[in-house]
Amino acid sequence: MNVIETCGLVRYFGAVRAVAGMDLAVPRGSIFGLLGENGCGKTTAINLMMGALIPNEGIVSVFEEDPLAFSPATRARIGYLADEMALPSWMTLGEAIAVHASFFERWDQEALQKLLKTFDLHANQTFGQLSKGQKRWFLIVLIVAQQPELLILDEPSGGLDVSVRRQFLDLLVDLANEREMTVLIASHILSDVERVVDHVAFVKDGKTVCQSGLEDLKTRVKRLCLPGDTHRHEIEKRFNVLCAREQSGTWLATVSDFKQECLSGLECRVEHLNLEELFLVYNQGGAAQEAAS
Amino acid sequence: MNASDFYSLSHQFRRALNRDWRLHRIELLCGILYPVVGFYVGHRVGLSQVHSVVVPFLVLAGFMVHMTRRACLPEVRRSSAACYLNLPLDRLMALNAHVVFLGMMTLWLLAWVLVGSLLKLGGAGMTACYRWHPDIAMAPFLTTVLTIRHVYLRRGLAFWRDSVLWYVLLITWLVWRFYGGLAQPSNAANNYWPDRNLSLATEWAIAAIMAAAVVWLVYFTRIQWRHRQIGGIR
Repeated sequence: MNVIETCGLVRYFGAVRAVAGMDLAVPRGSIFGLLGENGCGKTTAINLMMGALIPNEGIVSVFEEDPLAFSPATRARIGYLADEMALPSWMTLGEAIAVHASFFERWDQEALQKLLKTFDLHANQTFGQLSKGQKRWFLIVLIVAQQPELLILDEPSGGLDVSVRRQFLDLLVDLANEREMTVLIASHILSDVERVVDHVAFVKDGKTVCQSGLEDLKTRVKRLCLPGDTHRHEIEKRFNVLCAREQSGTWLATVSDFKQECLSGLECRVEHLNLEELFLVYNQGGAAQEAAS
Repeated sequence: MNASDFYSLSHQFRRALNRDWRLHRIELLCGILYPVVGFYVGHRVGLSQVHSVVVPFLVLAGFMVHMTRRACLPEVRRSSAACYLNLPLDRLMALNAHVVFLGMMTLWLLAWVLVGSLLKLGGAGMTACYRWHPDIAMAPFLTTVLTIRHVYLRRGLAFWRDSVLWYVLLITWLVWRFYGGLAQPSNAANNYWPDRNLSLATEWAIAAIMAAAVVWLVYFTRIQWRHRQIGGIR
């Protein structure tokens, strides 16, 4: 069952089409990466999912409900963290906790105390005293204490340094697994996301260009390296070639339906692609080859 | 308490008000300074025993513009972790709570103008009579509501046309109200601010029109906010 579904989602801002027919299906219990370059429509899509925007065309449903008609009880099932989210700098963490706790029926104070301890955060600290990483952690702690079933994170590790980013995402995955949450992460930092997501969707110019389980995608999409292009036609006949180019006498073809048995009789080397290379294949075509080389 | 009780409108409203209080109580206390300081700004030596209290209200009206932006903008921009998208809070309820909270804040600060008037009265040795002008006392409410409207509905051509009309009306009123006195500084008849010396009945009539405008603006802002989302109208 899918927690989030969008179908042909379109959203204009004036003449600009920020989301241009986005189709997504986020399975329950998955950690889903919504990946794309800056300005490709990820945040707009999330705003549509949260009911902060009305789609011009298409359908979006979260927990099989229209986000524009979310009841407070449904909204309580969703934890949302946007990129620039903050609290007043003078506010103590204790006070912020009190404000949030009053809004949620299933508030888990015990888990909150445990997480605060883990991050060495204290109720008498003010929000302004925290480092950028601690601020993000604290906001995540607030969200986790709500016991949401769905976590929507828009650029969750933006502005954090590498080690903090890594720690942050690892912790997030642990929490998601422990609490069986569905997590949607929108990000453009692919190296971070690759370690944690199990499903991905690549977004380009407001459209989903690829959506799949990550392992499945990695199994299907491979780069074949052939000495010269003598077998080029044979490869094109046997596989669906996404992009290809010749480099230093080697013909490099990225195929989307790789099967080992289809290679019989062909002399070629098979290269595995990481998430960044996969992203480039789907987003920029030829650029992927360059990046890989 | 079951889920439907917990998320009932009255509970949501109470929680939203409590949130506003916790987020803005410092401004609520610091804001007292503005109307009080207003007593010492624009002070003119007058001849009349009747002292019009004008400046504290104008300072308060300006402060409420600032305060309203502080309270409402983070929610509209979704930059606050305590905005309606992060909390199980109906979006219209979040607006209602802001309107009520800011209305109560304006009343609270008006009470301090009253305290200021009383203190000044005592300081004057009970010789002067301090007079409030009902229409000017309404100004903070009007600027608060206009700012709420501006923050929540700031996109769209119709809004801008509408908004410009309101601001033109407000500025025209202010210019008309004070221009006569400013043009004749030698005719300073009170300690605080020259004005047109309108009759009390006229001032009450203007105040009533302003109160009606405030109610009308709140009503239509709520309707428009209910039917629109950030960036466009369905």
